[in-house]
Amino acid sequence: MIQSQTHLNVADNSGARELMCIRIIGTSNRRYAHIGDVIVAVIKEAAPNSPLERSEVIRAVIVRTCKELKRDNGMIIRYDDNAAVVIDQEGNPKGTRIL
Amino acid sequence: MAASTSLFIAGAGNHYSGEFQLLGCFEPRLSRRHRIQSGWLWLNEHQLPQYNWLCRIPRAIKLKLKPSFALRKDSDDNLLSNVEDTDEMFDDLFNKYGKVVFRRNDQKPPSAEVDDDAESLSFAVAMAKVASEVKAADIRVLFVKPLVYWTRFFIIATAFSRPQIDAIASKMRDFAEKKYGKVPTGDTKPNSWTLLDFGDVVIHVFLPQQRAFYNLEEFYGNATPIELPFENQPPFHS
Repeated sequence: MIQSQTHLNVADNSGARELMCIRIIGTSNRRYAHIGDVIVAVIKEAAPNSPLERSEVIRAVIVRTCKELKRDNGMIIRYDDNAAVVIDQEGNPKGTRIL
Repeated sequence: MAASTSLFIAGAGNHYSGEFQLLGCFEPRLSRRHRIQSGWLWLNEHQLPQYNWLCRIPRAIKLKLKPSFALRKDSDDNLLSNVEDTDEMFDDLFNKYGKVVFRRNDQKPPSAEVDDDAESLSFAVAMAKVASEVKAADIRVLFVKPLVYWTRFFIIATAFSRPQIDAIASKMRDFAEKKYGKVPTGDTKPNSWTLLDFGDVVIHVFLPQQRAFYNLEEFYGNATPIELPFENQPPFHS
């Protein structure tokens, strides 16, 4: 359940460390984003000497949420933190490894 | 005002039991106030048995206090020491049940696994052949089953333009559906990194720059490469 102003960790080696969600891509007026949704985020913290800088607006796809994901077979998956992977306009990840 | 009247009633004794019914409408407000003063009202409860119902709600809240585990460093509390798995516990389990304590029920015997692998291998090689027909370059088939749990084979191919990626992807989809009846998940629109997921076999189609950028061969360097029976095109055309 990621919404605007949510801080997320970054789960790749793109250079960003923490993101803040600004908007959820998809239907208009969508309240919450879950695993697999694309969000627009601003970088709140970045690693030094990385191609991404603080206060840069980028897109990201959510990979981990503290809110559980329910599957049709009854499996429930819940993580301990909220995390996203930075992607570009096409949908390709900006980093090379997923952490 | 309401609080002061309630205090007056509680301290008064038996005489005002009749008046409680009259004051019934004020009860919600009174009880909310009482929660703050429930401490000392509770102490007086044994003296005022007819006021039990007024004190009952605050008393229930009082009793919900969670027990807090405040232990000294070297205290030996059996309750909390179950958190760690001790060596003695493992030794006991081994002596009791033998080396295997838990076995998954859905695992197939090794001979059936090898058959499945052979089937996926033939599928992967067929897909690689389709890719080479569309003139994809530098096709590699990697056996990644010992490295990842979610697939058996990777196919990595390079295409030189987006229409070529589109052509490779659509030819693979048609071939898989016709011959094997498998429908892939993954990318539907062509992308500079296009993915087709057939379950046991995952196919990556890159543009040359993306292939160098993501460098999957290095990440899966421990995977055994599979020899392809047809001639592979060199990765760089002039």
